Amino acid sequence: MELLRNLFDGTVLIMGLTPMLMIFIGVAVGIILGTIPGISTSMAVALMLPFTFRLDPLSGMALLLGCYKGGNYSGCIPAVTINTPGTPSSVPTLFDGYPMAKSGRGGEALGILLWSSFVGGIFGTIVLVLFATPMARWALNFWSAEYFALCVLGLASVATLGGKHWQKALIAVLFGLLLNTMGTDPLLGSQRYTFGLIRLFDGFHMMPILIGLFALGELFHNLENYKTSDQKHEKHTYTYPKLLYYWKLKWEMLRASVVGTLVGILPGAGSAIASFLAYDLEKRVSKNSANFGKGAPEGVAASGASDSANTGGSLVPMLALGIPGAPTVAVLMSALMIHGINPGPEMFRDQPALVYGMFAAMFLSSIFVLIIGWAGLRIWVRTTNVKKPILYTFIFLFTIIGSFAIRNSIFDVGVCIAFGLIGWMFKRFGYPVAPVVLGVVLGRIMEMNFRRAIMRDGAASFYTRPLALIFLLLAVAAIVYPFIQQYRAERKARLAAAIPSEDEPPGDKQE
Amino acid sequence: MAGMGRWLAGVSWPWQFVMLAGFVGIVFLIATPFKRIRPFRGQLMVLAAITWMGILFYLISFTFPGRSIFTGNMPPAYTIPRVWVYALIPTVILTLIPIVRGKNDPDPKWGNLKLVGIVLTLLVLNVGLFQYIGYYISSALFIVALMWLLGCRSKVELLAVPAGWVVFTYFVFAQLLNVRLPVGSLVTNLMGVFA
Repeated sequence: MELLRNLFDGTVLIMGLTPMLMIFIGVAVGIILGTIPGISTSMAVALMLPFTFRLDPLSGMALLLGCYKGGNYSGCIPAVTINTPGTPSSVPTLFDGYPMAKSGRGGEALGILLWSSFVGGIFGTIVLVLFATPMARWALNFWSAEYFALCVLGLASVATLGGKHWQKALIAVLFGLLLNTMGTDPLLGSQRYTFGLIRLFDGFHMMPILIGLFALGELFHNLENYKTSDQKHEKHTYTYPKLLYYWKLKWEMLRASVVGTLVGILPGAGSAIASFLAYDLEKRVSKNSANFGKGAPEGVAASGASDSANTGGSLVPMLALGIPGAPTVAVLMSALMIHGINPGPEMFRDQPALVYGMFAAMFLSSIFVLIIGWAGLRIWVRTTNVKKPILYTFIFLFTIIGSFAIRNSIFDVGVCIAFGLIGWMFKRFGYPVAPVVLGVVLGRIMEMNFRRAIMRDGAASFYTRPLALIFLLLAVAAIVYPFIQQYRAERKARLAAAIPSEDEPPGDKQE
Repeated sequence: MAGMGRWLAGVSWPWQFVMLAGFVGIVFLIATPFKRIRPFRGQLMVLAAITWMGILFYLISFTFPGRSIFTGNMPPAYTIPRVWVYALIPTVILTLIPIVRGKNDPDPKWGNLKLVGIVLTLLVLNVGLFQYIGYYISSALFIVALMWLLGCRSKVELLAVPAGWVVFTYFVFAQLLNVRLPVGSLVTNLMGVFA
């Protein structure tokens, strides 16, 4: 009952003119940027950040959440129209979306994407509302030791769930954490690693690092592979089916939404994993499984719904525990921190209006995605072919002005360019940038809690408090797991090499 | 350690970069003769840069104030940087193992570095000119140069985009969001002459 009342209060707040306008702008900009291949959702949200500085926290978050939802949906559009995934999570959409477009069913695929995105978005938000509040209430009992251990667990799982190059992800996390130690010591006030620069007394501001790593780094990477010749794509015709058609895919959308939300709650798993899992599950359970990869509407529905549901799930650990599990969520968390709000259980106690306003903004964003997405479907298809010189120029301009606007400082623009180069090198050589951002965002919180815990009970606080111990053991398990996985894969490969194939006649092998 | 840390902490920024580049360069030179490691030189260089940062931070941490009667049992300022450096050491070794065994994906081939270099120079020039000719003029010139460089030859676009951007930034950032965009000493002086 209390939950419903709070949600009602949040909805009343978000119904104001400014927040509604911000959701509208956020969704529209998110959709436009998301349709352009090469612009990830985290990049789009990072580019929108400077616009939130002068807004109240709720309107600012409404803008960013709208952009997050819009970008998440439209990242799948180029996968259908030009066979190019806008985001990594939209790769499974390509498997069936593009064959559908090629066979003249592009409108059908885009319509399914829109509706599955709406269903997934609403489902993910419902789970967010139901899960985040009790989780935050539980987390209110945490002490410093538990918080530190939870952050370690979050970072460890983000790094090790990241894929086969988990060592590089761990390196990236530690790089972010080390960066965060620069500036004034948060508890004793002594200067650390400032090298005589007054600008560094407060350490690096989070924003130029985020914008540099996500936007500039990506841009330098794209420029390296830039070709001035125009890319021409095949033209398809789009006819959109009637509303009743989408109702047939309700179970596929719901199943994928469950997968997307659950994977979203796990820190580090990410929307790409969710999308692939949901697609795979649907392929296994569908009666139409033979058609998957050749233009099955169920495949498009599964990837679209899971991708969108993932947004709601990924906000659960950030809002309830203060642990961002995905790169875009780290950007959202830093936006809250810029407004002086620390995400986590205290936020539910101290700023309930903001929290429930954000929940309401999530619901409204999904509705706006449906309305704006439907109204402009023909336009979004065209934005996939936006001219690269204009697009890249605008991204450069937004990164410069965005990093400058934070403190009216050219030093911050320099930091942004430097981190752009770092981001480019990281991307080039297979070091993920998202863990760096998570390290930067969580570093100070971890340091404060670690030192407070030591001050209170000494090192014993980490093994005498059961929950802290469990979190730390889980973190160790998260780090050890890839070793076991790697060992098993290598053993399997060795065994496969040792056993001769059945087709191969014995004794035929030559050294 | 403390003496070394004090010396490193006193080295200015440009020299810090020179030392970093030197360390990365040494790693590059060491890796080059080995056929097995050569395809991973880029990955090694990134790793070397982060390792250098760890060494630097560790040594400088010896210059931070330790425990005193004023701080009580609060862990000193060097605690957390050292914790991260201690965690970095095994992680660097773990990252090195697949590289040395040749099990990682090799570095991708370099693309159009000339273009990236020119764009980067333009970007730095653009930001450097803010205080002389101001944000608006500098940005307009940057837009034209960048669009031309990226293959845009339409006169309408080359004129409309910078003009549109200047108007957009003035109304949205300067007026609406109160961002104090640099006007530039040249413009300020000219305004002073005509005032």
